[in-house]
Amino acid sequence: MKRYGILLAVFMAFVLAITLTSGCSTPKKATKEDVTKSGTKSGLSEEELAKQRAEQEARDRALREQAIRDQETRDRAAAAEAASLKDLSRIYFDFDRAELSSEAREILGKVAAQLKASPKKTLTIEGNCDDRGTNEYNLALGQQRADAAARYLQTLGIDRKRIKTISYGEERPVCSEATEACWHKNRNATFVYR
Amino acid sequence: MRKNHIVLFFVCILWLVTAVPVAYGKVYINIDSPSTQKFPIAITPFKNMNNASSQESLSPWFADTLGKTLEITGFFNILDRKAFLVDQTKLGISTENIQFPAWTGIGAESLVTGGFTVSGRDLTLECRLFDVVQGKLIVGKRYTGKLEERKEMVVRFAQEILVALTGEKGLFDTKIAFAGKRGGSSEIHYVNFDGTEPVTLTNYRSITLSPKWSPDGKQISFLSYKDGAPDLFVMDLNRRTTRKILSTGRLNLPATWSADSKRMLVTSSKDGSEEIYILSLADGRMTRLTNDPSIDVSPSWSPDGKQIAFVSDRGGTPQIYLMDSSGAGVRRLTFEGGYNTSPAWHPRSNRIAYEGRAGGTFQVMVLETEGGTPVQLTTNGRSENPAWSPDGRYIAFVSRLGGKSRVCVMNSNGTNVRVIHEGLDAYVSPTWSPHLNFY
Repeated sequence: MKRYGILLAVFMAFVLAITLTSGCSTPKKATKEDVTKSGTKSGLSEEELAKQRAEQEARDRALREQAIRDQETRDRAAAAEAASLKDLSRIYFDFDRAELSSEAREILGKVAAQLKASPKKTLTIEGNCDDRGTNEYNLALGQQRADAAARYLQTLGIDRKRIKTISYGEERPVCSEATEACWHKNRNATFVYR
Repeated sequence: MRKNHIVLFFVCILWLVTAVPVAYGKVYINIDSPSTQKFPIAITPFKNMNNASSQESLSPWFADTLGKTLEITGFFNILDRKAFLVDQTKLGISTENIQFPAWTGIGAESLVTGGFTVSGRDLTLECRLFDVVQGKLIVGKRYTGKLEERKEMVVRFAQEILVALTGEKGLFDTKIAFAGKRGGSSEIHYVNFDGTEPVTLTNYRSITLSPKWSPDGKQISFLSYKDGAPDLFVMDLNRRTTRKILSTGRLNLPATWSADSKRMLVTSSKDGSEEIYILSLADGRMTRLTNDPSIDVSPSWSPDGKQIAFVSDRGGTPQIYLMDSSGAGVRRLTFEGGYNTSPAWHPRSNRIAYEGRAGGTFQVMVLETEGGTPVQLTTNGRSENPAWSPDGRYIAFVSRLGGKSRVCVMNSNGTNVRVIHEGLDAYVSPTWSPHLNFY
């Protein structure tokens, strides 16, 4: 008996609710409902939706492909740039000196231009020395070389925050012969772009 | 220090107590004289006291091992047994049995006799040192222990001989640490004074350099790029734990410790150029000592802690400078050669060992802190990074000769050069431990 009473109450409430909604929300809501109804109900609309989805996917795909192509273009450009700017990966120093030569300053000018052209890139400058002299002193000298390059880039308008310096002293030689040619190669500041 | 160090039970008996003060008062070998003559000493084969069969080989083994041990010090001329005129093992090894003229006759100034008794694995060793010129016992000792502890017994008696003849026990209980490079990376290693028992301390496969042994013997500081930047670390040698003590994102280099092992001189470029600081290990506080836009690096404290030697290129080339420990009173010490680095202050005097340019290469030099003419100690190849022994009688350094790099030790007058480690691509920065008392 009780169960019937509850069912009846729920039914009554349902009817009341329907009458209320249909009664109160006459013109404005009808249009909205029409739109949604036509969207969900009609088979034609499903097709349209699928078509829209397909179009969207095609657009996305095209965009992705374009992005890949762009990246490839950029990579090619960067590779070409790296090849042409191979000389821009390092500057060289005199024995026991951290002063920048005019050649080094010229290269740093191009490095600065490169950094300005790609404002998101950061630069790590690694200071290196030849293996003559003391390794502790050379660690300090390598830091001075990296700092000299960083300071010059800063005067050319590069934000110091984009530049990190690290000294490897004589610990990372590019060659190991005891010749002036090899020592010269090892006395450098090396630029690593990220 | 040594993990599996066997506790050596030994009994020391002074045989002629009255002779001892007289003997100790006399300096037989003046180590600090610049041209030390090697002291002629005869070591007889040791007497097999209870004629233990199958132990005959120990008789020459003891004599040879003691001879080699003393020879390492560079102070002794070990006389050839073939020249001996008498057989003390037959005549007896005690004072009343010694034929003193037979020993002075072959040019000996001292004589060592010894006897051993083997019973199962137990060994009793007796050793005596005689002054054959004056015809008397200088020191006698008896050691008891296991047969496998015989090397330690020999080293202990070698220390007695050194105390009696030179006033100090020698450096057999010290080690030398250094950085060794192989294939682009470097690790910290150490070996005993005689080059035995090599140990590799780090395995970071990075650039790890500049070990500095703490005066309490328990720690080694060093620089490592293992976390990407040149940071400073301290390793606890007993626990083999390492902690980072300085990381600034720029160059940091460890240098000498204070006598109490609580502070450390360091170089850091944290404030711009490379400057010298005192780093307090307890709280990490840094006190800046130098203020110059040029390189200031490689500081070394004087034994009393009141002065510091360091390298600066403020004059255009790297030279050794001195300053008060507050950073005041900077004065230049070296003027010759155009490139002088790696100063190491003698542990007991006002002498600085350093690496200086001589004839197109680099050699180890010594100079008084008052200035004067530097004394060049090495001549072959290239010699770098001098480090004094705790008694100031030896210098460890890196030798580069014929394309090979080696860690070497020489007496402080430049003689008796011996290799203590070789085989890696290159070596840098030897550092000498204090006495670790493992003998």
